[in-house]
Amino acid sequence: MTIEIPNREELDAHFRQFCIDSDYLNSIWPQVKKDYPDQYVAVYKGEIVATHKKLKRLLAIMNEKDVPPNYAAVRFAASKPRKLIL
Amino acid sequence: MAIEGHYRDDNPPAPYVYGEVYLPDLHLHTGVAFLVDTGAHATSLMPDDAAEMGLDIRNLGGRYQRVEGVGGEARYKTTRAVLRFQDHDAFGHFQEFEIDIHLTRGHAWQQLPSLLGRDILNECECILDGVRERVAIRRLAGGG
Repeated sequence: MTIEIPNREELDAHFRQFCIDSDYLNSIWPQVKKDYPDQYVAVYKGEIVATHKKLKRLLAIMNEKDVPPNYAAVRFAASKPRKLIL
Repeated sequence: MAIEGHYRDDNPPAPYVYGEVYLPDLHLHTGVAFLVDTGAHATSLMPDDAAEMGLDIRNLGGRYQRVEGVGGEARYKTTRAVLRFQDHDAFGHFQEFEIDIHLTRGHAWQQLPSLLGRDILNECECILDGVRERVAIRRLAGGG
């Protein structure tokens, strides 16, 4: 298997896209929680590209759509607030 | 020269920053929303984010080490990592940190956020303004 090592320009572009998509996901988050309760939601290039309650399945859907999971914004839309003490 | 973040609508809201993680020994990279956690002794990548970059730490060499948390003991491995954050004051510029990142063993169903810990935060001054929901991290030591 050949591993492609990204160059700096590609990394920069991916990272900027990730930040833009993460901001977009934040901006629509209240509606996302209503529409996709207790599911993972993936946003890539400004649109929701996959949703599923299981992360493994979500990643498979993204791969089928040629969406790179490592540069999509992925977040779990918990229907009930979670309490974390880390 | 500031890394700007935001508060997410957790209950209560929690401070996050976006970062890019590059693991040079594994040729893997991913974007991550890090929870700013002054209680974490080291920056840690949690299982969901590791899965998104195609990393299974069971296949990684080295022994598991132990770390204590409120929820009990957790296991992790470490690998070399380069973390980059967008510099809010200079478009196209990045703040870069080289660390040994902790890769935490666990399950995707835990849905835990990756943590930005004191190995990075102790090089910075941090503004966590919960009233105005503003997050700003400015590097003071260790490079630029």
